[in-house]
Formats: sequence, structure tokens, C-alpha cells
Amino acid sequence: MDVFAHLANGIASVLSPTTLLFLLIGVLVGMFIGAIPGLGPSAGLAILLPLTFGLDATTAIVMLAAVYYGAMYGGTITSVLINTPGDSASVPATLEGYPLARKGRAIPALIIAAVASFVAGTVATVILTVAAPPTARIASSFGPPELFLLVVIGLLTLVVLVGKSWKGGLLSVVLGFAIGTVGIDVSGGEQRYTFGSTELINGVDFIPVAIGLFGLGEILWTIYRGGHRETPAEMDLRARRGAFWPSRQEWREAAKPIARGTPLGFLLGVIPGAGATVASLISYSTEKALSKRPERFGKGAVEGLAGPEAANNSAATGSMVPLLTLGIPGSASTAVLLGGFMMWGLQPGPLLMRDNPEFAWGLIASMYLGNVMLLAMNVFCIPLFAAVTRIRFATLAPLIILLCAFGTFTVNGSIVEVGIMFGCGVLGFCMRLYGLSPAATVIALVLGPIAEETLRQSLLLSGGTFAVFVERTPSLALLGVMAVLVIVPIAIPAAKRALHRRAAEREQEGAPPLT
Amino acid sequence: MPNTRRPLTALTLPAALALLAAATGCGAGTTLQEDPEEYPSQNLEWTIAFGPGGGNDIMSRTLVDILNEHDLYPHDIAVENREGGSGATGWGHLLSNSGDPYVVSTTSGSFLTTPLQADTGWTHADFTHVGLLATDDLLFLVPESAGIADWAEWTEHAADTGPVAVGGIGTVNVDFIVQARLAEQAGYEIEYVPFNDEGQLQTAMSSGSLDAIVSNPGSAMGQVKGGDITPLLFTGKERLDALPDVPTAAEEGHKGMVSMPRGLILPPGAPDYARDWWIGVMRKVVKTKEWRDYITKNHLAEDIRWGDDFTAYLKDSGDEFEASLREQGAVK
Amino acid sequence: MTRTTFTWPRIPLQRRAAEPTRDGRTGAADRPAAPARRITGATVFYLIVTAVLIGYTAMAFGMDWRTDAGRIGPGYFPRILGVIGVALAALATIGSLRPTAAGPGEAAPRHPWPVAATCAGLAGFAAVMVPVGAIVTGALLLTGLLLLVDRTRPVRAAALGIGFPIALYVVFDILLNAALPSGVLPFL
Repeated sequence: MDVFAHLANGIASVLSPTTLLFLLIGVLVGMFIGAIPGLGPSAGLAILLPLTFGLDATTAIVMLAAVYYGAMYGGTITSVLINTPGDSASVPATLEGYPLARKGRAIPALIIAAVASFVAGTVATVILTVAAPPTARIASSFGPPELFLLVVIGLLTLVVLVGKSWKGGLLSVVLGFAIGTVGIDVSGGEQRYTFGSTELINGVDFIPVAIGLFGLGEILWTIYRGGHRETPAEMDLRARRGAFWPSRQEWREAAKPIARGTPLGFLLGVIPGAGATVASLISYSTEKALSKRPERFGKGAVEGLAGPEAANNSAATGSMVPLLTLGIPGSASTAVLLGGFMMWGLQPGPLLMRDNPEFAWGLIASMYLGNVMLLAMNVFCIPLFAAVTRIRFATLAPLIILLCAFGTFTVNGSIVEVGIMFGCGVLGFCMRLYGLSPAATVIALVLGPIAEETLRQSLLLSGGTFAVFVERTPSLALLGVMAVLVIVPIAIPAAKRALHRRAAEREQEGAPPLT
Repeated sequence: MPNTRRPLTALTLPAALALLAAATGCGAGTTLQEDPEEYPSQNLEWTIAFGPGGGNDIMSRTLVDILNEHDLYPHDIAVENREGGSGATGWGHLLSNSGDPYVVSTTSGSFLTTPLQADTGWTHADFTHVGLLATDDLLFLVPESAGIADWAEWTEHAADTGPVAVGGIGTVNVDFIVQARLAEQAGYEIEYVPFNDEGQLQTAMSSGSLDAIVSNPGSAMGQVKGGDITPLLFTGKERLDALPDVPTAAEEGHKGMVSMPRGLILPPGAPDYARDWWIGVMRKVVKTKEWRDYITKNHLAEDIRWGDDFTAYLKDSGDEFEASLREQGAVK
Repeated sequence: MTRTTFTWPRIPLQRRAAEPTRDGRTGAADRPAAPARRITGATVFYLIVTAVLIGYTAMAFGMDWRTDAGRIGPGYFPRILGVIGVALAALATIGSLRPTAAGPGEAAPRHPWPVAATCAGLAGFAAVMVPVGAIVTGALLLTGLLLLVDRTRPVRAAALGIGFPIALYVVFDILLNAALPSGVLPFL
């Protein structure tokens, strides 16, 4: 088959010692960068892209792709160990990964995440290899109305995320939306809530808010609870209790979520805009809805880590589809890669795979190799990284605070963002104290502006009517998904409860009174 | 907890403040007196006001590469991306280094538009203008599936169907001005839909949501060559080498097409000898093969104007932008 | 554990604003057995959130609800968000006044002072990092924080406090080429 001939050539072009070396450097550097709070995949790529200026294009892209995946694996390490997500798509994984680490299951959690990433990354690369052009058609059928509906689906999953205390959850969401309205209003060019500061005209970035609300907020909370007074002995005990490999039970819990998250992530990752974030949110809420014991979610449920992690990584591969087949960047990270293509003198677009097969297929081949390398390296490195859980909190917390501060600063060289990070740390602390949901705030911050922009675009396109959302096939399909998402989680428990109640009442009184 | 144990941070703060005072007191003087003959005698700081991988970044790195390759700058050049606030941060850095001949940057469309939109503390007129090297113009594109072959067909189609949905990047931007002017001059009505990024703009058209978009040739050429989208018009002065069949806006009788200036600037108040030195060097740069390759590959239109000519060009373009955006109600 | 604690939280920063008349020193000691309605940290937090959201809403009403062409304007969503947000925050404020049963779990040790001190340190850090430089400010903050949480080993705190920022500076500025402000140190 043609595809496999191409792939074989691609593998051949990657298998030179230099390229392999750069691949190895790429995954190592990527993992390292991803493990620094503040520097996620896109910031990592942006930092390293300039260094590839002048390298041979195939070598450069192999290294950068490796950085991209490496940073995603590395980001999981910070999510699990210090509760700091590297990008919005890894927020759901944080919700379960960090509690697992606190229970002393840091290493097993990281291994499950790495395996989930590996399986998802590899399967997604296979799909990319055999079915890139047809899936590209999904991407190109997504206009503003469809994107809007997709984002709304993502927002609906917040219902699952915040759980029972809907008032607090809604307030958290509103706070996130409100932060998201800061900056220049794309649709009209007007400044909102910038107070004249040029630092704010492009809005409040996800990174400082997430580090503040999650990482720093968690540290303040732990200090407040007296975590800094804990003796090393208590800490040691907690860390040592954990084994290296996940238990058979945990593997079993992880398998199906990975199998579900992978195709979901790939399909949504193909869509430019919010694909990866929405995919991992949907995966999380699906796993919670399907779980027999949903009450474990938020306290370290393996399914809630494995599913979103798989979705997140296969979405990263999925976002390569529009990049390679159409020359369209679907995410911040692929936008930087696209810049790289131009920098190396390649013309991104539908002809890239035909005109530069050794480049495009070399990239695809490197994804297979990169994933294998990452898995192997992760198994070796995880115990090293996980050693931080053995450091006393009193020593670790100040180090993390400084690391977060420097990491936040270097992304854009902005002290305002460091200030935002600190402010959000205090806010995150208070939110934890008073039972609000920082995760809902962060997700709302990311999805809110896209929702507003795409809704306003849709209404511009339609001349102001909402009919635009039911006129097109993809929109209708999304509306269907939305209906299922809304109805199923509400309907099933409600039905169960109703059945129980009826049964109980019948037992007690014979005939249930109608009200 | 007992109040008597005061945290040490409270004590370190005054110390830090004292240090701060010392720092601001003595660290301000960056402009050193030097013999004009000696210029350049120090390392250079090259500021890129945008993130890596963007059009501005690629141009800057190409220039630095040429300077290094041909030994045109005798000392080291440190390239730094200072992105943020649509260029406000990077060019603001030049502003805070006023008078320093060892900081340079390159311009783009935001150099004219960002000050119209936000309180940046500078406008294009404040800087020392070395020279314009090229302009980045726009292609007017329709989806191939629309079956529209040329500009005349488009105007006819657009006039018949009533308001057409057209897209571009941003509101206070070249894209909006071009779309509005074309529609006005060709006599059709538009609904302009602004986008935040190129990917979403292009998929909006491919999904059938938009009737037409404008895009830089560099980002659209792949899809044009692939046959997915049809270019109808180019806003540059001359036809693109890569698309010899696509007429310019001027050929179709349209005026006032603005473009993104790709030029080189020094901080406000940089000495004349530095500006003259750079003009001399850039004259050599634009003749190199690497630069010609860059222009061709990125589909830029060469437009060389040195010193005061560049200043005049920026003033004209700036006024044009402002007037046009004011007229469209995009800025107040 | 993320359980809501409605009764205790009197962070010193907030106590000043909330309870000017009370002179409770440590928070836990003077708690009455069954308070009727009392102002707690939660009340103060929600009051601040309400105030911020009121400001947000007021500004939103300064923006257009619709554009000239009759489309959704820049003020459309901020107004909706503002109104909903103020309502929710006000509800939460009132809810926080309601006495909740202070269970035995409340006896867990709480450490508001270190939290407040950390926050003060962070504020100072953000204020002076750019002019003073990453290493010096970082070293001051880190040493301070380390001493704050553990005063028994000052030498170790100082060594770590100075060494770690330098190591980070090397990693970021030199290895990753991501600039950190050098500030007052002349040799960087």
C-alpha cells in the first residue's frame, strides 16, 4: 500500500543517527520543560523554535514534535505531583491525578498516565497515518456555529465537574467567564476591563490563572492546614506506602477509559480551536457518568485520570491532521509548528504531503518513535520526579512557589502575569476554603471567550437569527450529542432515584400519595 | 498562632525596597556617549514584538541570519521575542530604551494599529525609522466550491445576493479596511466577521460559513496551490510572481489598499549616525540572495524606502488607517 | 480535603475588616458555643466577590448592549454575567451568615498567619522583581519562606534560598534562553 511505502520512507529518513539524537534530545528537553510549571507545550515550542533556525527541516520538525509530546508527558508530571496543569486540556487529569498522589499513589498514577498517553498517542498516530485526508474533512466542516456548539458541550460537562453544590459551581463559572471578558473584544475592537493597560489587551492568559488557582492555591491551603508542620516521618510513610506499578485493579479501571478517550480525543483534536480541552472534559464527565462509584471522583479515581489523559494526547496528534493536510493550525502549539514550517521554507497546505513527503512522513514516523521513547523514559524517570513527594512540604512548597513565579514570568516576560498568578493563588485558596470550584473557573476562562466569539460570529453570519445552529448537518449532529449529554447524566440517576423512592414508599405506605 | 513570632518576610521587604531605590537611582543611564566613527562598538539587542513562528519573527531571524552570515554586524546579536499586547510590549521596550542605538526592532501592521486601539504610550511617529524593506499584502479568496472564477463574477454575485459574509483577522486591522474598501468601491454590501486566528478563519470559509476572506499570501498559498480556494485579487502594487494570473486591486480599479509595513526601526531619539549606519548595512542586506529567497518564499512585495521616505510612508499609511477605521466606526 | 468550613476562617487580613470590635486573638479560643449570626471569613470573602462583581457589572453597563448594526455588543455578555454573578455572590454572602453546625472537625489546627505572611511576601516579590532582578528577589523570597515555615535550620534555608534561584536562573536564562530580569547584579 502506498501509505506504508511512504511510512517506510519516513521511518528510514528518521533512522539516521543525527535525527535519532535530536529526537532523543527533543523528548528529554520537552519532558523537562513540560515539568516546569508555567511552561506547557506551546511555550516550550516557542522557546525552542528559534534554536532550530538553520537546522535541516526534517531534523528540526522531528525534534520539535518530540518537544511537543515530551512537554505533554512532562505536563502530566506537574499535574499529578504539584496540582499544576500545563494546559487547559490537562485540567481534568489534575482533578484525579493529584488526589492519587496525595494518597501515596504518585508513581502508579504517573505510570498509568504515561501508558494512557502512549496508547493514545500511538493509536492516534495510526489513525493519522491511514486516515488523515478523510478526517481533515471533519476539520474543514467546522465553522463558527459548530465551534460554538462544541464549546457549549464542553461547558455543559462542567455540571458534572462541579457536582452537587450548583450555586458555588455556577459562581465559579461566572468568575471564569468574567476573567475571560478582559481584553480587546475581537468582534468589535473595544477594550473591556483593561484599565488602559497594554498588558491586558490580549486578555488574561490561562497559564498564570491555572498556576495560581491550582498550584499556589493548593500550597496556601496546605500551609493553612498546617502541612508545613508535618514531620518528615509522616510524609515518608505516606510516600513509601505506594508501590511502583499500578495494581491489577487500577489497570482494569484504566483500560476502558483509555479505549474511549483515544478516539474521542482524536476526533475532537482535529477540530481547530477548543478540540483538546473539550475532548478531555467530555472524557472526564463520561467516565464519571459511567462509573459505578462516581463518588470516588475528585478523590483519586483512576478512570478520571486515564480517560482525559488519553483524550488529551490523542487530541494532540489529531491536531496534526489539519496542520499537515490543510496547513491550518488547530491549537497554540501547532500554530508555533506551522511557523516553523514557514521558517524552514516549507509551504504548509494540501500539497505538503505530496511535495515534501520525506518531511511529512518523517514527522509521522517520528511520532511513533517519540511515543516509544517517551514511554521508556517515563518509566525510568518517574521515580526520579516522584522523589519530590518525599521532600518535606516545608521545604518543597517555597521551592515550588519560586519555580512557579519564574516559570510564569518567562512565558511572556510579564510581571503583570506573575501578579495575576499570585492574585489567583489567593483566590484559589479562598475558593478551596469556601467550597468553590477552581477547575470550573479555569475551564470557563478558556472556553468562555471562544463561546462568545463564535456565537457573535455565528449571529453575524446568520443576520441575527439562531436558525444557523440547526441548518447544517454538523451542527445538528452536535445538538444531538448535547441532548444526550444533558439528558443522560440527569435522567439516569433521577430515574434510579425515582424507582428507589417508589419502591420504598410502596413498602412503607402501600399506596404512594400523589402531590 | 502567637503574634510574637513575626515572619521574616516582613523584615526582608524593607531591605528589598532599599535595594530597589538603589537600583532605580543609578541604573537609568543607558545612552553612553560614543564616537560616531566607532559605531557599532557593542553587542546588539534585536527585539521581536511577536512570538516565535509569526511573520515578524521569521523576517527578524532571516535578517539576523544574513547579518551574521555576511559579517555585516561586527559584534554579537541577541534576538529576543518580547510578545504581548499586539506588539505593545516589544515596541514599548524600544521606547524605554530611547536614544540607545544598540536596540533594534522590525515593524508590522500592528505598529500602526495598536496605538489606535490601546494606550501604548507610543505611536509609529516616535521611533527612529531606518527603512521599509517590503510590504505584506492580502489575497482576496473565495472557496473553490463557489465556482467563482474572477473578480467581476464575484462583484456581480455579491451585489445580487445581498449582504455577503466576509472574514478577516481582527477589527482594527488591515483586513477590515481592505474588505470595507473593496465592498464600498465595487458596490456590494458586506457583513464583516472578525476572527482571532488564521486557522479558524480558513475553516470558517471551508465549512461554507463565509463567502470570502482576505489572507496573507504566505498563509493561504498552500490551499491556493492545492486548489481548495480561488484567489480573485491581490492588494499589492504588482502581481505576485507565484500567482501571475491574479490581478491587483489597482488593475481592477480599486484604490486605497493598505498593507503591513515590514521595516526596521531604532528606539525613539536614536542618534543619526546609527540610523545612517543601518541604512548603509540594510542596502547591502536587501541585495543578498538569502533576502531575495525570503521575499519570494513568503510572497512579500519588495518596497524599499530609506530614512525619511520610510517616515513619510508610515505617516501616510498611519493617517490612512486611522481615517479608514474611524470612518468604519472601528475606533473612536 | 476541600470541605467547606463556614465558621472558623478568620484570616487576620480579613478580621480587621470584618470584626473591628472583637478582639479575638487566635480565633479558636473565643468562639462562643452556639453563635447566632456571626461574620466569618466566608462572609468577608463573598462580600469582596460581590463588591468586585458589582464593579464589573457597573462597567458592563457602560458598554454597548447592541452594536450599531443591532448585533450582540461588547457589553452583552458582561452585563448578563455581572447580574448573575452579583446575585449568586449576594446569596452566598447571606448564606455564609447562617450559623452552621461547627463540628468537631473544626478543631483541626489552622494556620492563618503563615498564609498571610506568604501572601505579603508574594506581593513584595511581584512589586520589586523587575527592577531588583530575579536572583536577588528570588533569594529573598525563598529564604524568607523557608524560614517562615521552619525556623530551626537557618543555615540550610539560606543556602537553599540563595542556591536555588541561581540554579533556576541558569536553567531559564542560559539553558532555555528565556530571559529573567538580571536587576541589580552587575555581572549578569
